[in-house]
Amino acid sequence: MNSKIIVVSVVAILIIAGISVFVWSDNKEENGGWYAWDPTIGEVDYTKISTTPQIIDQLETMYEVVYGTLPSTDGVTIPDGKELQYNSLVTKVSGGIEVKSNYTNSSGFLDTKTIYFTDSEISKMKIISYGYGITDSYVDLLGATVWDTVVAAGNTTWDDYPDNEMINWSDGGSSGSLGSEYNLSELNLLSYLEKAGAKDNGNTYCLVVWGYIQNYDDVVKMLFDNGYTNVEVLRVDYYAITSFEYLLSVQDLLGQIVGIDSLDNGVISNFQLRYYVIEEALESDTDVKKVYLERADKKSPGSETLSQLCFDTLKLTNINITKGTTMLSDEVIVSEQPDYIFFVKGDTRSMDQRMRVTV
Amino acid sequence: MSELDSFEALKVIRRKTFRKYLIVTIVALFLLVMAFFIALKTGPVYISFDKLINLLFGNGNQTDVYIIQQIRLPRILCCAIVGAALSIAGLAMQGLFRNPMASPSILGVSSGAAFGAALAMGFGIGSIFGSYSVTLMAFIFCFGTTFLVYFLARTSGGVSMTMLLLSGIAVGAFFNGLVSAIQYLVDSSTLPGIVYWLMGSFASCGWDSFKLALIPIVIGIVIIGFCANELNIISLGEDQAGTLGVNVKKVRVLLLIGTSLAVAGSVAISGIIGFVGLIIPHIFRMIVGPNHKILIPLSIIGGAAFMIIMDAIARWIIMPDELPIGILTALLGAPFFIYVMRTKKKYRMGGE
Amino acid sequence: MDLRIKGVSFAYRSIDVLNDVSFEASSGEIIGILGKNGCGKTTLMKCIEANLKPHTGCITLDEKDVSSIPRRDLAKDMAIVAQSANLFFPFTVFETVMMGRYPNSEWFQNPTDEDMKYVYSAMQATGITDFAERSVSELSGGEKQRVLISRALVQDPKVLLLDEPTLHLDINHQFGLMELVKKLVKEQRILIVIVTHDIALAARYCDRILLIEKGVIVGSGIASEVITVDNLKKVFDIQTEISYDERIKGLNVFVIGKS
Repeated sequence: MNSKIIVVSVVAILIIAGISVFVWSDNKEENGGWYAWDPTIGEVDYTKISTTPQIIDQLETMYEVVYGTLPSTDGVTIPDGKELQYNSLVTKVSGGIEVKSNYTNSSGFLDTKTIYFTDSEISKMKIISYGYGITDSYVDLLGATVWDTVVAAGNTTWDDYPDNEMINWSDGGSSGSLGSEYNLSELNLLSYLEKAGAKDNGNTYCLVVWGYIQNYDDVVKMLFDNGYTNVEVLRVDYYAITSFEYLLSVQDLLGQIVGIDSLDNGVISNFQLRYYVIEEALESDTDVKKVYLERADKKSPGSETLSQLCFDTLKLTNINITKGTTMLSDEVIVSEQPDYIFFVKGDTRSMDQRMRVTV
Repeated sequence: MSELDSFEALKVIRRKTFRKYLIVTIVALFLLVMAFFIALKTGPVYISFDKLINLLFGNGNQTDVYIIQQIRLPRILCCAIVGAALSIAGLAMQGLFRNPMASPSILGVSSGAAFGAALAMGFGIGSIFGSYSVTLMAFIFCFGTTFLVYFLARTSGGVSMTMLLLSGIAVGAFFNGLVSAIQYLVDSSTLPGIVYWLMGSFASCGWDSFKLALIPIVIGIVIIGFCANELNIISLGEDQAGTLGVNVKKVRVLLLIGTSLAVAGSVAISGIIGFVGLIIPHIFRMIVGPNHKILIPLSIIGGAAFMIIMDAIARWIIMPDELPIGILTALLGAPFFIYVMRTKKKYRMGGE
Repeated sequence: MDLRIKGVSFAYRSIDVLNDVSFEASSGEIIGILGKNGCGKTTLMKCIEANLKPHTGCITLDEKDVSSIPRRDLAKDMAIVAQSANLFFPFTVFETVMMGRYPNSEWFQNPTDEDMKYVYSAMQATGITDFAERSVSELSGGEKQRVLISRALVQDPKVLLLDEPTLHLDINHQFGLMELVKKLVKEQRILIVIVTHDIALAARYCDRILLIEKGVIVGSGIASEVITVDNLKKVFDIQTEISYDERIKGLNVFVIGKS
């Protein structure tokens, strides 16, 4: 058996096989990818599907893709009891309010601290929003929450904060504690307070920490040791926000700290109104509508995600039923044939790529 | 050992060896076919075995046909060619560097490809290629890196293997740094896409990918395959190979080109997948010995079968989710590699 | 076949390793290149085998410059038995010796009967037919040496270069090798060049010797003219007694001690 013959014939077979594959796959019908079942395609800003009131913008975007024009909020009043209800995290006591802050103490255990704010403290409250262990952009989102709230309270403008900056820090999502010298990113909390003249200006400060603070006790002690008796540290579990209701509870908490009564909270009422009109419009809708949302990395939010909250409100059935955000196989999508497909802003793929028409 | 009475006895030895090779090849082919059908059946959408053949030819429920013909089949074929390509490239590098620990990425080509892909995904560079920008950028950079490494390794005395190795390490590290920089700079909505690509996956491998990768991979494999004899001789010493009449310089260039084509074609469609190029040649070397004339076809078959099975596992293990295959090969490959390193003494550097 | 070394010089960086070396040899001779370790003989050998190019001068084989002959053609005429055993991948002895047929075979051709005959007789000549199926990486130093010699013989060369051939061999195998060498010269008129630092070997078996010290020729000519007490004292720093021994039909060198 001459190996030359073997080699040449193997190569020839491969070449013929290769050509036939080319020809065969070209002869097939024009590959329409996912257009085959004619789904409706939309785009959302996935970064705004967040634990902040801005999520309602995305809810509205999705509504428009599925149902068309948004129902108007002009002149609409929500009938009593029909507004989105939430539990308050604040207990009103005589002379002030009581708030619970959950944190991890220095021994590593979950602990709760009750913080008490008097009415007079509240009237002079300045919030410092600090995002900890979260990306900068998400911190901006959370800070915007605070900002909207405090501006709505009318008790602050840009001028009230030194150097005209919005008090919104983040550590860029890196470390696990506030640092040995209590440096909050580049700004030292103490030097900030000093520059603001915190000891003498008569204001009360509430340091809202979004995230997982590890040395809460040490920070409190540091503030106390430096004579800042008017600075309170409050930790807010932003990631425990798994429902719209709890979202509003947190908004209410922020509002009450700066003296905005629950019923006067503009952010909350705005959210409730926009939510109500959508809920009303879809009340009698019983059609099954399948939906699929795909991120730039091809992962898809399943159950127990913020996106799912939106889908539930919009009466859309998510074809991704796994918990959390996972990558769904193309096969499932083809087999389920979702009626609505959402992609995200910032996805660099072309539409043909996203719809699997080309690679 | 028995005394050989004439050269006829040598022919008997040859025939014996040939028979052994034939058996191993048949077993490997059988495994390949098994792998093919197992992979065809694997997937979150249940398709029964008896329907498979029909579906391959387009008969049956249209959705199922789509799944088989447009999703699973091309994906399996892509796995096959990439598995073969990476195995052969690994074999070539091991022969060239006379080191069984060499792998196709030894010359930093994977890092170059990653950089090209990251440029395309992160900054849209290469948008003239349209939807193929990532694929083609990865390919161009992979291939180009080989030349970069080669030219950096040239000295007045020619190109030595040590210089090539060092150059490859340096260039690889450099590109890795650039990729990290890109990851740091891009938008948070683009970053996951890049990270995912770097982990290696066949999830987006359809017919387009297959057609794209087929040509460079086949050419690369053929080039390397034709150097089988020379690889044998070179693996016993480069100077000596020269005195036996081998044009070492020419063979080296051919092997480098063949490897870059094969690796570039693979990386372009499936991202970075490690360890395959290391493990497969090793396994077969342990079974049939170091003769490249049999190692090359076996590595092609074995590499293809291996990749197909790995991909099937990646699709099955956390069904309906998928594990990126690069993770799987690393998790399985590294322990295997350590095992080989520690037990098979004759493959350690320095021989006895 | 004529091998001519004409005015060859070679330097590594600024260190002269070979300086104006000239020598001629033809078929049917056993030439010894003798000298201490580091005298430049290995470099000279590398120039002869065209793995290094001399900075001045040239080396020709039948009037053709070795560095300009295509490697494959050169390999048909010249074979080298290297010193160290790079035999570390587990090819069988048979496979390894068969590699020597590379220059004479067509691309991707199966070994022909003729190839097999060459391999067999080469293995017979070095006495390794028993090892045909053994893996080279498992052999002892001397056995590996013999495999390399077989591989060289299988090239059917007209010139055979041996680099320190007796280094790893047992004494009986040393004799066997040198008898083989003599036989090859007598029967096939092969030109054999032995590079060595083994004085007794060179004295006993070589027809003509090139004595090198620090890259310069110190003596060249027939053995008895080069292997002299004075030369050995000068180059190797030893006191010797040299005599022609009828029993071996060659020079016997008795080393008395350091001079």
